[in-house]
Amino acid sequence: MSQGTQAFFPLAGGEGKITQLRCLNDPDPSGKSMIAQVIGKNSLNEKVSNILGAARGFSPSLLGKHVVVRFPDTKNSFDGESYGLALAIADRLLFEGMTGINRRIYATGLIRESGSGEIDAVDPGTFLNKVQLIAQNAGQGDVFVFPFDNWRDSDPEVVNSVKAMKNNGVVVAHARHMNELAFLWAKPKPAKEQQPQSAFPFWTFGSQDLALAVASGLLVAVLAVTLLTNLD
Amino acid sequence: MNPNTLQNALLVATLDAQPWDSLDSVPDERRYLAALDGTQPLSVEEKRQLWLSPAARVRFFNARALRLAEVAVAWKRQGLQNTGQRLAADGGNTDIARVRTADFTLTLQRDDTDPAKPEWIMILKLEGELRQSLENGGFAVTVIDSGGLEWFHGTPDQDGTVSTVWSHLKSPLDRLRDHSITVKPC
Repeated sequence: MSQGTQAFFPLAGGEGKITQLRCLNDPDPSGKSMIAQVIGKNSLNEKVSNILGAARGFSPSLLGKHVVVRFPDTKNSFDGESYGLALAIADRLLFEGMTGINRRIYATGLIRESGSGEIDAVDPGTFLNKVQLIAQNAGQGDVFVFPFDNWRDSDPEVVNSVKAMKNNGVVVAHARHMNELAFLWAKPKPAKEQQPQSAFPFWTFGSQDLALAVASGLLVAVLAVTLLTNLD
Repeated sequence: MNPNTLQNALLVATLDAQPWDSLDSVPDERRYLAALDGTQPLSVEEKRQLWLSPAARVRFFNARALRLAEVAVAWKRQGLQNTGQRLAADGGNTDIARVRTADFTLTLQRDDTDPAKPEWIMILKLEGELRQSLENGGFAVTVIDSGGLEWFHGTPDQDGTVSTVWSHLKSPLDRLRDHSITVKPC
């Protein structure tokens, strides 16, 4: 299985729609001057590479890794760069090995190309439309991520849409920087290893058991000595 | 129908509706060959004539076909390897397949991100003189198998790469089992 990661983002033009992008490992990175190969959209190679370079800025181990990017539902080109946050998230999930996750991640936001993981606001004029598109599509367990600056300046309609999403079980988060989103690629902690059950539980002690027994014995001895002394 | 397809259909219908003019009233192939070589770019007036005159377009496409044939002959003379077969070494891999020669690599990568709808990504990477001759001539490239099926065509990017998604019904791995792959200018 050659699985990639995906994230969903809203296109606000016209009636608007939710579309997706995918990131996959590049099987043949040699000889490519840019880190991203956008399938079927050569003209986006440079822009996507710049966005990823900036988004990865806080993670030097990812800086030179090559990635294949797809916009599988989008045949035509589209304006704007508000897909940047969704792209940066899918890219990071890929390199954290988080393929095959069931929940959908929706995101809208700009990655500051001169920055190092900073997330900038999308056009406030289209933000409400985008939030409402996501609210219509996101469901229980899905995640919606957007720039902190859009939240700070949001109007009541945005607040209401976000509340409705939360009530539907959508995890909603705003962020100023990519490193605030580490919860998205945090791996579940492995279950605590259980001590093997002994076939002879009554007389097989571990070191902790032995220490407990010695401490108990000492306590009893001290109490006995104290008692005897007081009797005199 | 997407807007690009609609625009193309409209353009084709408009050009087809133009009345035939005379070959005598338009430049001959040598003029267009010089333009294609970049030695004598077309003037604004000559570009306008290409849009308005079917005869001028016939001459232009004749010149272009001639130049493409010359490129194909030059590739043969130079011994460029524009035909190849799937590497035997990755014959068992069902996720990635490659056709590699000294002058190009075609990589197929299965995208199982949506397991209900697996797709094949194709990335053509051109190398060396083959890439250079396409760049010099301003040509696009087409990938055809020995069964006559055109896999895709496109204009190489600055790294000599063209990429797309497999659009035919039969699996590309099945095609590669029976056919070789040829890269041609177009």
